[in-house]
Amino acid sequence: MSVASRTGQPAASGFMSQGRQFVGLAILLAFLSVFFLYPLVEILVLSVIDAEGSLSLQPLYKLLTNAGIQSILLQTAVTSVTVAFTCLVIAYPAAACLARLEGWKATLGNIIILFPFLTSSLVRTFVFIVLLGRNGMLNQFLVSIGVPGAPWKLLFNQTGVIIGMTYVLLPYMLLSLVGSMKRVDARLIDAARSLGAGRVTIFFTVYLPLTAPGVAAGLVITTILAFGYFVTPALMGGPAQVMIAQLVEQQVVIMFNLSQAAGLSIIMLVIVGVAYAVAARWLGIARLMRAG
Amino acid sequence: MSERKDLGRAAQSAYLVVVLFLLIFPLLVLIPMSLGSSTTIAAIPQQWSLRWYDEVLGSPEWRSAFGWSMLTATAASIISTSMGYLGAAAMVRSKSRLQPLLQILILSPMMVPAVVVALATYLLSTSLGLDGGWVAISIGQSLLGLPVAALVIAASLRGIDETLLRAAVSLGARDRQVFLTVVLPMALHGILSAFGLSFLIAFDEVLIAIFLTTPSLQTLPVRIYQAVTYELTPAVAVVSVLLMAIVCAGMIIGGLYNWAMKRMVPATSQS
Repeated sequence: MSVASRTGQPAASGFMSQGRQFVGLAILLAFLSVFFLYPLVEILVLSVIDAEGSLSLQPLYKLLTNAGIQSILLQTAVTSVTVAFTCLVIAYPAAACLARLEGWKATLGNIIILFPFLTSSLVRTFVFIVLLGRNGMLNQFLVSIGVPGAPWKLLFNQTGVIIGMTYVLLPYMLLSLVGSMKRVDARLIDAARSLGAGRVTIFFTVYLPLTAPGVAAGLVITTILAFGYFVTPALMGGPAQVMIAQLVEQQVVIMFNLSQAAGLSIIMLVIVGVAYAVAARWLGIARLMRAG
Repeated sequence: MSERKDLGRAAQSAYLVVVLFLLIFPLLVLIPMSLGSSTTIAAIPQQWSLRWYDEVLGSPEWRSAFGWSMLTATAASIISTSMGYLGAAAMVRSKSRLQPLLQILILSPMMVPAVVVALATYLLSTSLGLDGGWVAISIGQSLLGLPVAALVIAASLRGIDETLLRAAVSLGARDRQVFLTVVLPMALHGILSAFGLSFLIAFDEVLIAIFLTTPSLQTLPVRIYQAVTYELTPAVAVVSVLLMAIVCAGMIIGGLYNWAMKRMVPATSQS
């Protein structure tokens, strides 16, 4: 590339020679084709082959019109959107403050966010099962301060799933918001203030619009992650909180019904794909990925 | 006005402290939880003991689960990191019109829901005849880590000033020398981070492992998943604490490495 053209040296270009770069790319593409794209095609094929073994959209249509599956899809969508907005509401003010920190305080804040982020999601779900139980720490605390109605039922129901998933996904939202808030130019806020804008006006006309991409990216990432989530709803939800990923898992592990699992996977892929396409159009793919 | 502002700031800082506390507190509670002596889990046990540490460290089941996870995650992160490097080099240097497409392809395992990647790996292992083998688990887990590895390495490759490469070439360095003496040392931090992150992703992965598990091949997350579902003893807390210790060690090593690099390498090349 530019190196070769400017120095007149052959081969050397950036990180590898043209030839080697090509070989590297070929290896990567071969790897992805064999181990990722090919089985995805297999899933697609499995999902559109009916009981007689001929190609048809009937199996997918059957899945989509099945009342049980419809209600699970609705449950999954409602849960993931609720979790994303809960994360946003909790994280936004905290992230605004975190983005202003400097020095050791900023480092400490980052460490506290990164630690749960890097810790196994199974571990994080497990501890919430213990804390939210009928005799768990939270209920003991609520009872001891005399909260009416305590102990609450916080496990194996929708509340438990929302609390658990919010905890697990909160770091994604925080990281996404802090990234966009750090890029806000403080001079713009000063300029607005010197022109006489009040705090509320500054927030709604300057700060919120400038941080909107981070908000949008955070919402998209957490919603999509929540949509496909398995561990937390499987361990913290009851029978009414079954989400789509659990259904796929049941089809594979318990029912051995691979074509149904494949059909559900295709439905998930289409929903997630549409969500990404809309988000990418709206935000730009690069920003979306940076946030994730 | 400024008093009100100070008050607002103070309230916001207090709120941040509360949120950070809520993030870290549940994980800290695991430590006393793991130190109980009874079979039921309590956040503050009535009797302290290391009984469950003995049970977990002495249990062949937990040990073999840990061993399998180390094996699959190590293999997976080696694949993720090397494939991620190839992807990153292509993403950073390619000026082709197909570049956005390539980027989406490399990042797609992260966009596809994990359960779909797991099903894909399951089908792959049956059609390749790898049924239930750790190799199939590693390959599937490496897919999940690949996008993250590619992003992290791409960020570190972008940080390398092209003038340095040009300088090396004009001084007569061959390709291999440019790579080994300029690119690799400067991207090392990114490559090691990519390795660490993809290791954690693979180590934490449940679904692929559940789909391909056999009685003799259980990874740690599968074992934890079953223990949480059926047993719920302090053994899970013990394993959790050990896993957190690994994460902690990784973060400390990463932090020290950063700190050491900042002291050794003058600021100019760290742009």
